[in-house]
Amino acid sequence: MTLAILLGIFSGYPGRWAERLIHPNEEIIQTYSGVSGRLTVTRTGEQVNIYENGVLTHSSGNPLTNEELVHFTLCSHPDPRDILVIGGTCTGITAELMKYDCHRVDCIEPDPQVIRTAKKLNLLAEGYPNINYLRINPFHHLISDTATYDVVIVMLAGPQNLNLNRYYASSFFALARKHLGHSGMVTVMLPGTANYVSGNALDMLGPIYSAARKSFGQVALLPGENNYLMASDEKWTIDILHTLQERKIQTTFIRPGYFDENLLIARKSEMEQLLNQVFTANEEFRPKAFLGMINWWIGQFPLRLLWIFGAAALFIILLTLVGSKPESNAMFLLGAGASGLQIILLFLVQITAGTLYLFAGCLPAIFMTGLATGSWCFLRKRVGKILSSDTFIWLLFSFSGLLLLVISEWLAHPSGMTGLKTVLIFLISFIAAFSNGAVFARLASQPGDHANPGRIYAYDLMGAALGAIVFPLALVPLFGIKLAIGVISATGIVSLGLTKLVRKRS
Amino acid sequence: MNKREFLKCLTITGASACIASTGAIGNELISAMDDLNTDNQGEREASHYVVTPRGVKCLICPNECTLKEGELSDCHNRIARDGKLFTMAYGNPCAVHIDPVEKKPLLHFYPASLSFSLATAGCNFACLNCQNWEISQTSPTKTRNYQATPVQLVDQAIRENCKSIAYTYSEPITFFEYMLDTATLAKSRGIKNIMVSNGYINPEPLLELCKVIDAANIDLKTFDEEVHLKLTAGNLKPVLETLKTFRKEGVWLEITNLIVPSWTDNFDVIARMCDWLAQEGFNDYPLHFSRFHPQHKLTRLPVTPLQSLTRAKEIALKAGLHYVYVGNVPGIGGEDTYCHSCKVLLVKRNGFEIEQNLIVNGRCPKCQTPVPGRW
Repeated sequence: MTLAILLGIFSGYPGRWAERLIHPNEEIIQTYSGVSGRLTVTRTGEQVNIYENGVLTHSSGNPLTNEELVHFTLCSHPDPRDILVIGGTCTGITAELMKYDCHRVDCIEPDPQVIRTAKKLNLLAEGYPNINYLRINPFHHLISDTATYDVVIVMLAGPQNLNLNRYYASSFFALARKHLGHSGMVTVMLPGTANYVSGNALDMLGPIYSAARKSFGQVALLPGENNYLMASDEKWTIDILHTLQERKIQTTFIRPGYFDENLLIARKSEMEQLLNQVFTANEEFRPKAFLGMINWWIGQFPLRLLWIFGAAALFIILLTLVGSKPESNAMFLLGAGASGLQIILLFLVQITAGTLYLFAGCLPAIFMTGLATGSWCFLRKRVGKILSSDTFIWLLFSFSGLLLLVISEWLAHPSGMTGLKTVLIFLISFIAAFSNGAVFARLASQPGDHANPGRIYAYDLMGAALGAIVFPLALVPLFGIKLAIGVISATGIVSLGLTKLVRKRS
Repeated sequence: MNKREFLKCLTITGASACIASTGAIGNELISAMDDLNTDNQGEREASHYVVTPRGVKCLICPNECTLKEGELSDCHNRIARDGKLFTMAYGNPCAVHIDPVEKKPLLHFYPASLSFSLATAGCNFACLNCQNWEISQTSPTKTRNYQATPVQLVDQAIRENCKSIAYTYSEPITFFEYMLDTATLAKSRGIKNIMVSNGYINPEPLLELCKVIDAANIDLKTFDEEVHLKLTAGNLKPVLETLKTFRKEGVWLEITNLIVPSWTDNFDVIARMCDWLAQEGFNDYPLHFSRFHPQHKLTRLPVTPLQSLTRAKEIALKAGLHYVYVGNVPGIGGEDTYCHSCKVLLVKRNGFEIEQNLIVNGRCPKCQTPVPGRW
């Protein structure tokens, strides 16, 4: 029976069945595992759609978006010749760009597999020697290449995860600015807001606007099918229809009749009024836009009950802690810190490696190994001697947090060395888990109290549950990743203090 | 004062009021602006309700919500207070724009004219694909609103040379009282009234509206009862009844069918819908097949392929409908009007612009066949 099930799973049939279920009425052309996860290519009519982990990232044959993005940007530049496009390879955007007298168009995808797929499906604009499809990480390209561009266009799905959030962070705008020539411009496509900009939408748009303002003197947000954030150091005026006419460029949508330039200008001013507030800039380590995007998405669902449930659970946990023994509370704290650290490490893997997908299983596995090794070592007489010092095993946990704090900037810096960075992240996870395992063994081995291991384990798990909620949902959004790591480090010291208190009492 | 100044003035007034009252900065300011109407602004006693032992029962739409004290209706903008029903959406639109009438879409109603378009928050459906979900699935107390009485709206529409006022974007049925008062005043001053709606309304309020509404675009989401309920949270039958009432009462009507991949792109269902329209005598009322763009809870779906839209159009023409259009797809001539009798191109459109209009006195100049609509 088990063999039959395994054979069934490995035959690929369940996968194909699930794909068909997710994409009804669509012809599934291809599915494969890329660096970002499961990539699925489907066809509906003559239109090709690309999904990343079930989320639609691009569709071909949508002239509205292509025209808005290209012409809003290129018509605002006096002489756009050299262009960098990040994302959107399959949408047909290059054909729109080729209507201008471009010298060089470099196209990069965060997932290089997309370019291979686009080529296979004949979605790339052919016959243009000045279009280069580069299979390199966009950040590596911006760091390693010295090319100067007139325009940098980002056509991605928005800050939907921490990896994508990097393209909307202040560091990206600063990096892109270094590659811009005179009157150079960066345009970033963002999710649309139709006829009304809600507070939730502003919480996503505002931090990106502030991030761009850090590097550029002139920033504007143009609402259309999507929102387009345009940033430059030079002032520019919106005169799209006239410029298109002057440059003799034929379009389908951006033309009198369909496109109301006055309305665009009026809506831009309204948007500016809304954005003219103090927003915390979106950073890699303070991903306000990512959190805003998640919040915006969650805002579609009635989640009030979930919040009430969460608050009640938190209240019960805290109430339990009040009447507990100090060593139970010490384990609770360390459990919370350890799970918080694991989540932050998962965030960092997504930032450094560009994807979480291929590493998602590794990190918990390493953590569990660390826990087991820590407990085992504490109980071995020879090794246990080294670990018999409370200060050492507790401070080892704080040390792992401090180490992470020190190298966090370097981890996020797009300088390559992904392998080394990933190994270091795994090492920190192991050290923290090792310390946690040793502390557990130390606290659980109280002579004469048979219920103690069970109690300590329960507190460890309760702490872990709380940490898994508090760190990603409260501390990181409110104070950023660095401060959250600092708090994690402190949990080790506070936990040690509680243990010392027990010893002093006894 | 032009439209831009009007909007600017309203926005600045609202923002200033918030700053003065809260002293908040940054993101908090937005929350404060969102709470602009907490002092029950925009509230007034609603029409069409009865008091029952279970609470007040709203009779505007087939949802017929029965509300206990302080409860909010399904459409998010009716509330029970002191044993009465209050509308929270009177004089507080959250979206105000001037649009070409073709954008509604209305292609047989004073082409190339401007329509002063407005919406308050709220909707009696909960469509998974809603383009305006940020205003339709919320209450007026949670949106940033302008303050505009019916008199101010009509004055502004006249100043902006708008031929009509369109109640649109969210669901105008839910701001029935505001729409009715504005439309009555507008009609008396020569301004036409357009209702862009899901048609989910009870007969009695609908008949009241028919006296002042000149044109309506009704979104017929699908002809499949089950899909309709799952997609919108509303039933199909009342929508069909609304279509019949509008036609009977002489309101100019255009019907939109948004083709949502995997939801409403079943061609058998489309054929049934077209057959029903033909049988019920809607042959001369335009039908718009519209392209879906990923929105709200259906962002994982792709845009409607062009082939689906053109096939739907073929089905509709075969069923005997005379004026079938394809919307949201620029550059394919899907919005051009042909004489259904001699097939000559009568109105050539370039988006919202009319490039050529050969209709003379509402007739085809070649074969003299009447072209229905308001020209």
